Amino acid sequence: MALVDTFGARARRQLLGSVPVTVGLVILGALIAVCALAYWIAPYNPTRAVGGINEPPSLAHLFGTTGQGQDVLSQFLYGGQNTLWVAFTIAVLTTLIALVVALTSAYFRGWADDTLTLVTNVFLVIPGLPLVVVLAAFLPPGSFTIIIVLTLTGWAFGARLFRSQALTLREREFIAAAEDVGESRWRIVAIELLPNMGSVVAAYFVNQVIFAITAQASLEFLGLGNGGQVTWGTMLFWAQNTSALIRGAWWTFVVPGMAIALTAFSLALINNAVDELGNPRLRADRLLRRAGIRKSSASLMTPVKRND
Amino acid sequence: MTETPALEIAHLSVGYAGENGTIPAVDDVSFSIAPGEFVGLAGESGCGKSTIAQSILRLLRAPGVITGGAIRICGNDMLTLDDDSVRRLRWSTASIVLQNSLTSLNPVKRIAWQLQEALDRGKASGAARRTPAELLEMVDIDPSRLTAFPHELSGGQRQRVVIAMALALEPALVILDEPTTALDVIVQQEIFVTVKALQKRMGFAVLLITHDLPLLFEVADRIAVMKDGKLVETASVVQFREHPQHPYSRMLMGATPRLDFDHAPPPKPASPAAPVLETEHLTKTYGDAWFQGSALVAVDDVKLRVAPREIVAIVGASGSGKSTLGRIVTGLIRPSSGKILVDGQPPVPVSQRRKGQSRAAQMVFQDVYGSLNPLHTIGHHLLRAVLCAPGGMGKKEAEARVAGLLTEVGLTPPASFLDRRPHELSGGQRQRVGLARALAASPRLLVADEPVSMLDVSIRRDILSLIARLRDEQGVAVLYITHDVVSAGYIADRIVVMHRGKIVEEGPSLAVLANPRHDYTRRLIAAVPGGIVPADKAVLQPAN
Repeated sequence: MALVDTFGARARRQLLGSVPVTVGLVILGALIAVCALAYWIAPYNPTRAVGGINEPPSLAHLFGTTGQGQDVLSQFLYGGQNTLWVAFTIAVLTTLIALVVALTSAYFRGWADDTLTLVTNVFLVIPGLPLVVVLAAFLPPGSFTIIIVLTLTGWAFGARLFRSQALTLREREFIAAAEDVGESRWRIVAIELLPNMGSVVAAYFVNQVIFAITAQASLEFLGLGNGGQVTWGTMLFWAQNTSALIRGAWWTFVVPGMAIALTAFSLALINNAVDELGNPRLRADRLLRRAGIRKSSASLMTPVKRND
Repeated sequence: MTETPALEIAHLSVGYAGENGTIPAVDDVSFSIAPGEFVGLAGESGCGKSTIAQSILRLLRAPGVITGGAIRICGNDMLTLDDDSVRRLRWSTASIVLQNSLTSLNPVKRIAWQLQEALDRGKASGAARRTPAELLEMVDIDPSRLTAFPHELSGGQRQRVVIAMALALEPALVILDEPTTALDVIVQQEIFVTVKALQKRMGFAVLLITHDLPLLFEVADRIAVMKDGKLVETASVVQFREHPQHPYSRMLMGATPRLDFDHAPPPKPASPAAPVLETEHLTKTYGDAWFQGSALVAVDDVKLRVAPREIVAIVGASGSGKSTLGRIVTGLIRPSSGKILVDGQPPVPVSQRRKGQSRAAQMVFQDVYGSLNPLHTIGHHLLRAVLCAPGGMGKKEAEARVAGLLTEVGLTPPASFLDRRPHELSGGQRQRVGLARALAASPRLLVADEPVSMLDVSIRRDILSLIARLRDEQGVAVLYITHDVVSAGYIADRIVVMHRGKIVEEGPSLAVLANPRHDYTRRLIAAVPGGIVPADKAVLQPAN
């Protein structure tokens, strides 16, 4: 599609042009790749006791073993699968819900807007973590519960964000022009309004993945996940339960902890460039740096650079 | 002894850092302004005139970079001084007034506080102290407005406040960057009367950036003309008016529409055909008088008739309700009360439109940058308009129709425009696309809301001629909404003057302009820079 082309061309140039983004993409890509290949590259079954209790890293067990004798490397690889798909699913769902709510509210306004804003506000003021804990305690533990709980509690802020963006876009004359030629309403929303929100949506999505990974890990760490399933969060839960910290078995919690931190870190790096797509100020700064000028645009003093 | 010039620019080059190196915007420009002199810098959009204005105080935003040359304000070299010294020179030695007064003022602080802030910057220098009240009086605003917030003032008053701030520390140079472009002609005239009077009293030098040559003829001593980042001509106003040297200057001079009162066409007899637009007691109010005490009446009891093939101009200042009227006619806004018939039918409100319905009135928008979706191609915009129009065309037919529309509005060859996006087109080309889109449904009436006000002077006449030609060839009637009486006289058969939601005067164009009956129309005509007949003598030059 032509639309994707231009947006894509600009995005490619900006995303691939900067070092942090490349680093972020490489880290994230590597994490996803090794987790996806877990079935082939994991040395052991992640749920079986295949070694001694709390064995430090060795050639047989590169990342050591857990308090129950499972191989930490295998757990890290299989656990990543579960953690990442759940996180991305939550991010996709919350972004979609937020978009539908925001676009409906911003385009149709009137009572639709009033109702949806009220619902959004209610979800915003509900204290997140306690609700999550209560819901997770009532529903059967597992990935689906976590997806439902975090989706329900995670979409409201995005709806607020997108609504304000959509409201300003709605006032632009090209929307009035599309109405004037008689375009149908859903077409105006989907084809004229939505694509212009690309960078905000992308930035929000990346942030939601970070939110989902950390929130999911916290829930599982609190024991609200399915303890029998291997994820980065349950790895932390079991490390805590087997007193890994007291016994000095650092590899059992550093590995999943680092995995979570690295994923969030790589996403944050990527977000940096996505931000730049929507923020001309950041872009201007980068262009100035490229032209060899150190001063940031925040100094509000036009730089002088003589070519001679 | 030669005086130090208030501003001296030597071989200045400014560029914008881009993906592939720095793109030059201003190239080797030199000129100077003597103390107390009023210099106008004219040129079309993109010529680099605003870039110069903002570079002088080093206010140009990133990614702007000054790449060479020198700027001296009263002998201070702005490009070699450190940041703190440059900051000290701002306001006290030179100041700038920007186009949009709404963004220059802090919306949450009272006027008095903001004026005091500007005054406080001069504490150290021990200059003669003034008070905010004195500053307001200086620009002819009642000091009782000191406690007002910016949004409580009109656009003209806000711009006066900004000018007062700029003059607070009695700088030697004031840069006015399109200060009145967003304002009405009457307000513009009043503001420049004030500025000229203050200049005479305080003796500061002025650099006025504008695209409006007739305005410069009235207020400036000297004119500099820029094109594509280069200065093409500098001359005194008298010299420039008599003999513009550069071909581009001559082209600019010739681009201003002139009215020919001697060859006024005989007024057409009232057309016997059914009118394409007919309104009676049309009223639109905003807000609710019941709950809020007073409602804003945007359109007040309007009776209007447009015959087929007629161009009717609705002239008025901003806030006169002319745009609201236009949007009611196309159905984008619903009237509060009154009767309106477009081609015998009330306009279909936006929410009830269906594909393929006939559309009697279509809109041409003002904002050539905002009225096309930046992500879609020109082909997409027109194809959608054609597919939504009555007729139920197949894909092949529709594509042929799009090509036909592009040819009609003078974008040839059509194939070369189909895959372009709005940002690859010039302002004039964009407005042509807007016209083609409006024509897609073969409407009987075009509502053109300020279609040329955002375009450069040199292309305004082309677009107006195109609209006139479309009337002749397609037989559409046109409702031309504008604040510019000259262009209205140039294109329209009839002029309708609106003031505060009411029609105050209407009649054949040249008759209205030559013999305005209503007081408001007279003021509107008197405020046109240079007068509506270019040979008019300057009214703003202070008599010495």
